[in-house]
Amino acid sequence: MIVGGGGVLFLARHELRLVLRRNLGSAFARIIFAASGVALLVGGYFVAKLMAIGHPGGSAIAIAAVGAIMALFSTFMIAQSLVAATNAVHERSDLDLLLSSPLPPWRIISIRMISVALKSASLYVIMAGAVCVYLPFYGAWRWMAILPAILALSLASTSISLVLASYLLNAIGPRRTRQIAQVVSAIIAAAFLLAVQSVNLLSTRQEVAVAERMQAWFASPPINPTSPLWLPARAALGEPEALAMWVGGSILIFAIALRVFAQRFVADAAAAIGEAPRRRLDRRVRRMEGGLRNILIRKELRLIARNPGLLGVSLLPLIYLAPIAIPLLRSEQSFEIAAFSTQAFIIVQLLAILADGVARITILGEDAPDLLATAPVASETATDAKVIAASLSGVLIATAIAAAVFAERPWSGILLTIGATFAIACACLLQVWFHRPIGRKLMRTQPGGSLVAATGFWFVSFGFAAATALAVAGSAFALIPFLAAIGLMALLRRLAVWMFKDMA
Amino acid sequence: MNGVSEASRDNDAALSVDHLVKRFAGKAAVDNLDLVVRPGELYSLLGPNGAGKTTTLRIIAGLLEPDAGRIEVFGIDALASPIRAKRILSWLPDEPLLYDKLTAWEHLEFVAGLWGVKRRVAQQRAEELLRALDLWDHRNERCETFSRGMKQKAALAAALIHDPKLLMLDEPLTGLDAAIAREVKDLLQARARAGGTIILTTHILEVAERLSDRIGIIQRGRLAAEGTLEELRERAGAQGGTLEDVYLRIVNEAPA
Repeated sequence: MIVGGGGVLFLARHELRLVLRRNLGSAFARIIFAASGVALLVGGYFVAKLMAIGHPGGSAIAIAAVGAIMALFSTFMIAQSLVAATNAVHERSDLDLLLSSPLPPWRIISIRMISVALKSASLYVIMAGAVCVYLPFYGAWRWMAILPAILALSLASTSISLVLASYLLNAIGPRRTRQIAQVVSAIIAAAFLLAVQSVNLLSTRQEVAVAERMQAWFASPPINPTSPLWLPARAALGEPEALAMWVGGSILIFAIALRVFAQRFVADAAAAIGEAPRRRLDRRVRRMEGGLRNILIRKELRLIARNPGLLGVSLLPLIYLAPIAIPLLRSEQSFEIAAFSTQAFIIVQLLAILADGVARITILGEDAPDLLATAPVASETATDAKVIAASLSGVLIATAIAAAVFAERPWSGILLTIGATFAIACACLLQVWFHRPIGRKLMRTQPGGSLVAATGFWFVSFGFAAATALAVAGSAFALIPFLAAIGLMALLRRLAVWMFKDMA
Repeated sequence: MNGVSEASRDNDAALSVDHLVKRFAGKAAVDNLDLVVRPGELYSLLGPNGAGKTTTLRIIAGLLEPDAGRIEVFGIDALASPIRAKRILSWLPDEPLLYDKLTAWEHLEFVAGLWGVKRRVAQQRAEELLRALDLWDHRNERCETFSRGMKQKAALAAALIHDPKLLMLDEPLTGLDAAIAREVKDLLQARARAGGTIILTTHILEVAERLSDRIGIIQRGRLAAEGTLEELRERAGAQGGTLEDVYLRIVNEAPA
C-alpha cells in the first residue's frame, strides 16, 4: 500500500516526476532554475547571517509580525489550492486512467491533493530553504522551525480550500463551482492588498487615525500569545510544543478535509461531464449578425466571458484598481501632484497587465487557428478582432478614470489616456508578435508562454507608466521612458520577426 | 430490447449488464440497457452518435456511477467491488490516455505499477507489446513527440500491459492510417484468438463486420438489436446485405 506498485510512494513519485518534467523539461528552464537557485542561495547566506545574530523569542511583537506574514501566505495558498482542487474535478485527462485502475480512489485523490498542498507551499519552502541550509552552521536551530511550520500552513490552507470546494460543489454544482472558485480565489488572493488599499477609501483624517492606531498596535500588540490563534506564529518561531501541535493539528485537519472532499469526488467529477451548458439559441443566432470584424470580435468576447480562467486573470487587476481609482473620483480632495503621479503610474501599469492577460487568452488560447486560417478572412482582420476584444476592458476602464480626472485636470486626463492607450496597445502587440495559438485547454494545463514577451512586457509597460507619471507631474523627463519604451518595442518587433521567420 | 439479451444471458458471461440506467440532467443517456458478452468473444457495440456507447463503457470502467442497474465482470459485481473488477478489465478511450512528458517505456512501467504487475513481468510484456506494435525503437522517446497513430498504439500497449481478461476499446481506429489500423486490428484478432474478451465501439462498420463474433446495436441508450451478422441480417430482413445495410435498417426502424 505504501511502497509497491500503485502504492502511496509510487503515486507520489509519479506526481513528482510529472511536475519536474513539466517545469524543468527544457535546457533553458533548467538553466533559469539553476541560476535562480544560485541567486537564492547567495541571498539566503546573507539572510541566514543576519538571522544568526539573534532570535526574537516569543515576544508579542515577533508573534504578531510572524502571524501577520503567515496569514498573508495563507490567503495566497488558499486561493491557489482552491482553484487546483476544483480544476481536478474537471480535468479528465490522467484522472480517467488513474480512476479506471484498481487503485482505491481515495488514494489517488489524496496524493493529488497532497501535491496541491505542496505546490502551494513550494515558493515559500524554496525561499525559506535557501536560508535554512545555512542556519545549522550558525547554530541557529530555532529558526529552522520555519520550514515545517510553512508546510503545515500549506496543509491547513489546503484543508480550508477542500472544505470550501466541497461546499461549493454541493451547493451550486460542478460547472458553476469552477467559475465561482476562480472568483473567490481572486478575491481571497487580493484580500490582503485590498485591506491595505482600503485606507485609500478613507478621508485624510481617518487615514491618520488608522495609521496611528496601527503604529500603537504594533508597538505593543494587545495579543494573548497563548491563544490558539497565534499557534502557527509560535510554531514558526521555534516553540517546540507549539510546533508539534501545529504540525500534528494541520495533518489531522487535512486528513478530515481530504475525507470530506474525496467522498464526493468521483460523483462530482462524473456530474461535471454530464452537466449540459444552458443554451439561449435565439439570442446567439441574432448576435452573430453583423460585419465580419464584428462577428470576430463578438466571438472573442464571448469566449473570453465563457473562460473561467479569464476571470482569475482579469479580476485581480480590477480589484486592485478600484481602491486606487476611488480617491481620484473624490471631488472634495485636491490632487497632490506626487500622489497623483504615483496613482497614474499604477493605473497605467495595471491596465497594461489587464490587457496583457486578456490578449494572452485571445491569442495563445485560440482553439481553432486552422479554421480561421482556412476561412475567407484576412489574417489581419482576425488579429485585429483579437486585439480589440483584448483591449476593450482596459480601454473602457481607462476612459472612465480619465473622464473623472478630466473634470479637475484636463491635461492630466488626456496624458493618462495617452499613456494607458500606449501601454494597452503594446501589451496586445507583444502577445500578437510572440505567441502562437496553443488552445485554451493546453493553456490551462501548461500556462507557459514566451519569456522574451513576458520580460519585454514588464519593461515596456513600466516605461509607459513612468512616462505617464512624469508627464502628469509636468516633467519633460517623461520623454525619456516614453522613447525608451518605444525603442524597446521596435527592438522586440525585430526580434519577433527573426524568431518566427521560419514560421511565416 | 430486453428479449435480445435475456435470450443469450449466461451465468458464465465475461460481462453482464443488467437494466443499466444513467441520466444526465434528467435525460437518459443509458436507458435500461441489458447486455451480455461471452468469454473469448469480440463484441462490437455500434450506434449513432450520442446513443450511449461511450457512457456505457465509462460506467463499466468505473468512471461513472449508474443511476440504476447491475454490472458483472467475470462474475464480479463491478458496482459493489469496483477494485476487483478493475483488476481484470482495461478501458481505452478514443483520446489516448498518455502522459506526454513520459517516454513510452516509462508510461507502460507506470501503468503496470497501477495494476500491480510485477516489475520483471511488466518489462517482458512491455517489450512484447512495443515490438508487436512497432514502437520498440521509440520506447525512449517522450509521448509528446508521437503522432496520433503512435499515441493510440502506445495507449493500446498500456491497456494490455496487465493482460486484462476484458478489454474495452472506444473507437480504437479513429484517426489511424491504414497501416497502423491494420496493426491494431491484427493485434485485436490475435488477442481474441488467444481467448481474450474484447468489446469495441466503432463507426467503421467494415471493421465490426470483419472482426466481430457478435454485434450489438445501441440506440437512445437501449440495445436495439444483437447477434452475429447473419442473425442481424435475418432480424433486419436484409439477407445478403452488408452490415451497413443491416445497421441502417435497424437504426431507422427503432422506435423513438
